[in-house]
Amino acid sequence: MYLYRAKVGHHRIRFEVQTEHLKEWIAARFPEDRDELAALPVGSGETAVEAAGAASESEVVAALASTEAAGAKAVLYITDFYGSMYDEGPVEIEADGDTVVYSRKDYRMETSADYSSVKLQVFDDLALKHALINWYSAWLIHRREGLLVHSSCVVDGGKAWMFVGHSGAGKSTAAELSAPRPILSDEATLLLLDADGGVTIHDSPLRSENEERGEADACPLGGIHFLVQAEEVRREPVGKVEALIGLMDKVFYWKHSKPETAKMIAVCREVVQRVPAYELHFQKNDSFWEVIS
Amino acid sequence: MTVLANQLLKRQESIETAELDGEWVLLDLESHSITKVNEMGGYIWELLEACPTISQLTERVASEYAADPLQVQADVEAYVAELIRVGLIVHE
Repeated sequence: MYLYRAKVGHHRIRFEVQTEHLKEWIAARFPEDRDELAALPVGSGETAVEAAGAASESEVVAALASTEAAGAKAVLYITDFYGSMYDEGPVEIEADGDTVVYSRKDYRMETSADYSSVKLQVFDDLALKHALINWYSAWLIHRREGLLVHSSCVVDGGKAWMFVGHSGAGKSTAAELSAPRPILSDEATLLLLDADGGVTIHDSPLRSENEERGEADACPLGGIHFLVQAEEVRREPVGKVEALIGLMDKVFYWKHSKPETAKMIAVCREVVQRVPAYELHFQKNDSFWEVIS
Repeated sequence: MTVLANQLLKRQESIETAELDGEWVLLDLESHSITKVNEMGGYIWELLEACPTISQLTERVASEYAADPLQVQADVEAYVAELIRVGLIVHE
C-alpha cells in the first residue's frame, strides 16, 4: 500500500492506495499535509510510505490523535482493477444507516455513515475522479463545512469569482478567457465556510482535464455569477432566493437521505447569505471582467 | 363558507423551508420541487402548525393585521388551495 496525506483548509485526508499510479494521481491534485509529515518521528524524511512503515503503531496513533483537534479527518482506502468502463449509466446509492454505498459500472464506494471512512474500488482515473467528487461533497455537506459546486472559479483583485451555468453556458470558456488570472477550478469548485463568516474557495483538486494544481491555494469568494450568453456585457444582482435555487441545482450531491439534503440546503443558504450573486450577461471574450471588478 | 373552510390542513413532512431577504422557499425533498412565496406566505406556512384550518388561519391573520376577515379568508383560501395544488399540504 502507498500512503499520501493531504490537507485542505483545516481538514486532513489520508489516502491509502493500492498502486503507485493511484498515489501519483492523488499527489498531483491534493496538497500534501506538511504539518503531519513534520510531526512524524525522525527518519520519516523519505517517502510517506516508508515513514508510516517505520513508525510504531503507537507513534502513528499519537500523530493522528494530535491532529484531531486541528480539524476533521477522513481516511480513504482505494484499490484499482474494479468493474468495467463507464457506460453513462447512473450512480446508484444505497444507505442502510451504518454505511452508504455508491455504485457505478466503473466504481464502488462504501463510506461510513459520517463519510469519514471510505473504501473505494475503481476501474480508471475517470472513475476515481467521479467517486472522489461524490465523496468529498457528501463529507463536507455532512459536516456543514462546505460544498463542491459544478462551476469554474477565477481569481481577480484578490477575490475568487465563481461562474455557474448549465452545460454549454460558458463556465470553462469564462475560465479560459480569464488568463493570466489564476484559475481555482474549471469543473468542481471547492467551497468552504469560514468560522469568521466568510466563504473561501480552495484550489480544486478535481479538474476537468488532467490539470494539476493551480497557482493559487485559496481565496475569499467575492461573488457568484450565473452565466447568460448575450450580445451585450452587463451584470445584474440576483435575489437571495434565486441565488439559493441556482446554487442548489449545481451542487455535487446525490440525493439519498432527507437529513443530508436538508444540510445541503442549509449550506447553500449560508453561502448565498454571505456572498452576493449576479446574473452575468457575457460574450465569449474577456470584456466581462470590466463589469466584475 | 367553502368546502375547505373547516377541513384539517396538514403540511407535507418532507418540506424544508428557508427564509432569505423576506422571501421564503419551500423545498420538497421528495420531489425536489421548489416553491417561492412572499413573507405573508411564509408566515401562513408557519402558522399552519398551530392553526390547521382556514377558519383558524383567517381568525389569526385578521386579528394580527386588523384586516377585514372576509377579505382575509378569501386570500387565505386561495393561497391554501394553491399549496394543495402543488402538493405542499394535504387536507382531510
